Amino acid sequence: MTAPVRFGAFLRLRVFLRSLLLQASWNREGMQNLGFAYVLYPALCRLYPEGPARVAALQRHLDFFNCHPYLAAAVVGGALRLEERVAMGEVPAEAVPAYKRALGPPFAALGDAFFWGALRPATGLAGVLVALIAPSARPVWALATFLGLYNAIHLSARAWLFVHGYASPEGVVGALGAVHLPDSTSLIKATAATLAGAVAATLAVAGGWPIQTHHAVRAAIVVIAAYAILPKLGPYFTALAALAVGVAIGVATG
Amino acid sequence: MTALEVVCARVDNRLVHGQILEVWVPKLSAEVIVVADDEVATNTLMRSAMQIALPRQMRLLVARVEDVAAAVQDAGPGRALVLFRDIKEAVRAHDAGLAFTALDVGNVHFMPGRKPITPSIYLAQDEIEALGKLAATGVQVEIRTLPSDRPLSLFAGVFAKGA
Amino acid sequence: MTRAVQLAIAAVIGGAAAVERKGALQLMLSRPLALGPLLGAALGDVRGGLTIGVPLELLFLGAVNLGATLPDNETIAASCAVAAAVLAGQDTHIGVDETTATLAIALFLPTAVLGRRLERLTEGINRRLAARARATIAAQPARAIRLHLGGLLAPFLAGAAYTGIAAALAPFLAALRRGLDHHLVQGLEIGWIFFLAVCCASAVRAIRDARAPSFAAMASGAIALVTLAVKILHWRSP
Repeated sequence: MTAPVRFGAFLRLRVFLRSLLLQASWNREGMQNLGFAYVLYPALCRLYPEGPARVAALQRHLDFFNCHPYLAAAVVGGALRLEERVAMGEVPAEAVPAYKRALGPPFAALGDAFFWGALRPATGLAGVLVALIAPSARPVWALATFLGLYNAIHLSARAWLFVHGYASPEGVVGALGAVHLPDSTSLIKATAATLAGAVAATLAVAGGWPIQTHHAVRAAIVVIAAYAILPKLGPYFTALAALAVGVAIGVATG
Repeated sequence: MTALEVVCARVDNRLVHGQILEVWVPKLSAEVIVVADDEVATNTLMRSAMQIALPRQMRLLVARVEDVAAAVQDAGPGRALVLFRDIKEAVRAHDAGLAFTALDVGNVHFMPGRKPITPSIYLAQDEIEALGKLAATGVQVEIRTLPSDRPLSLFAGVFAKGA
Repeated sequence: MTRAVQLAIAAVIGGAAAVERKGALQLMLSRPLALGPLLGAALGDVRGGLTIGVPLELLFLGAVNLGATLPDNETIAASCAVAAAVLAGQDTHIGVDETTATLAIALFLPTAVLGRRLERLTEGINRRLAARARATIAAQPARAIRLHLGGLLAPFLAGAAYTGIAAALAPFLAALRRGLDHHLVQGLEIGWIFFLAVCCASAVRAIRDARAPSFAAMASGAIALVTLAVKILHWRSP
C-alpha cells in the first residue's frame, strides 16, 4: 500500500538515548507506560502527522508496561520496528502491545537476575576488594573497577539489545536465548560469593585480627551471627544493633 | 505417569518475571513453572521468551486454562509453581479440576473499576467475590506479592491482616 | 571553598544521585561505592567518601527494586552520611576517621528508610502525571508526553533537601566527635568493626544463590589461612 517506511540512524539513536530515561515517571498503575510513550515519541511523530492517527499511536503505548530498564532496550527496538510495519499496514496495531506484553515480563526476569542479582553485586564487590587491598592506591581504582566493569557490560548490552530488537523484533528472543544468560548469571553469582568471602577476610586481616587467633574467631562469630539475624531484622536494623552492641562492649571493656 | 506436586498457585498479571524467578522459585524450591494461560498456549513468541528466562535446571509447562489439570497429571515428578494471569483464570482452572489448597494473589494491575488493595494489587468487586467463592470451597486465599510481605487473608469478603 | 558553596554542591549531587538511581541512566553512579568517593571528591575528601561508601555498598548490596516492593534507599543514606562525615572531618581537622564514620552512619542510616517513604510519594506523583498524560494526550500530545520528565523533579528535590540538611548538620557531628571521651571513642571503634561484620554478612546474603555461603566461607577461610601461614613463617625466620 505505502512505500516502505524505515527510520534513519539519527532517529534510532534519539530513541535509544531517550530509552535511558524510561523510568523517569515510573508509577504503580502503569509502571513504565508513560515512559515507553516518551521513548517512542519522536518516531511516532515521524510516522504520523499531527492529529488523531498520532494520538492513537501514542495511546496504545500508555497502557501498562514493565520491564527491566536495560532489557527494555530490546523491547523498545522491537516496538520501533513494529511501528514501521503498522504504518505500512503490514501488521495490525494490536501487534505492538501484544509484542510488549510477550517480552516485557520474561525479559525483566532475565535482567533482574543478571544485572541486579549477579553483575552489580560482583562488580561492586570487586571494587570494594580493590579499595581494601590497595588502601594506599588512589580511590579512583576502586571506582574504575566497579563502574568500568559494570558499565562496559551494561552499555554494550543495552546497545546490542536495541540494535537486535530493531533488526528483528521476534529474532531478538532467539539471539538472546543463544547467549544463555541464566548460565552467565549463575557463574557471576558464584564469583560474587567468592569475592564476598574475600572481602570479609580482607577486612579482618586489615583489622589485624589473624595475628591473634581468638580475634579471628570472634570476627567469624559476629559475621555468622549477623548472617543468621539479617533476614529477620533486615540490613538496617541489624546494622544499628551491631553498632549498639559494639559500642556497649567497647565502653564496658574500655 | 506421575503428577506434578503443586507447591504454589499464584495469580500474577506478569506471569514469568523477576519476582517469580528471583524470589519465589528459590523460596519454594520449585522445579517446574506451569503457566496456565490461553494466550501463552497459542503464542510461540511468549513461550520462547519465557523459556530463555529460565535457568537450565528448570522446566516450563504451558497449558490452556481448561487443560492445565490434565497437563499437571502426567508431567511429574517435580515441585510446580502454577501461574495464572488473572483471578478468573485461577477460578476456571479450579473449576476444571486443578487441585490447589492455597491461592496466592501476587500482582494484579490497575484497571478502571479495580480498587487498590495493596500497592501491587488492585481488585474489582466481582474479583473479590470470586475469591470469596473459591475460599468457600476450602482454598486458602492470600494476598502476598513477596514472601517478605505480611500476607493479607480473605475473611468474609474483606482482606485483613492475618493473626 | 566556603561552607555555603559546599552545601550547595552536596545538595546538587545528592539530588542528581537520587534521580540517577531509578529515573535516569542507572550507570550505578548513585551506588554508595561510586557516590561516596565522587561526593567526597566534590567536597574535598575522596578517601573520606570511600570510607563511608565501602561499608554501605556491602550493606545494601542486595537492595533490589523488584518491580513492586521498595528496598531501603541506599543512595540517600550514602549521600547524607558522606556529606556530613566529610564536612565534619574538615571541621575537626581529623578527617573521616573510624569514629566519625561510625557516628555519621549511625545518625544517617535512618534516612535509608525515610528515603523509601519518599519513593512511595514519588510514585504517587508519577501516577498522577501518567493519569494526566492519558487525559490530555488527545488535546495536547506533545505536552502530555513531556509530563514524563516531570517525574524527575520530586526525587531530585528530595535528594537535594536530604543531603543539604545532612551537610548542614556537619558542625553538630563535629562537635559530637570532639566532645567524645576516650571510652566512647573506643566503643565506637569496636562498633565500627561490628558494623563491618554485618556489612560482610549482608553482602553474602545479597547473593541469592544456594552456593553463596559455602563459596564465601571457602574464600575467606583460604585467605585467613594464607595470611596466618605467612605470619607464622615470618615469626620463625626473623
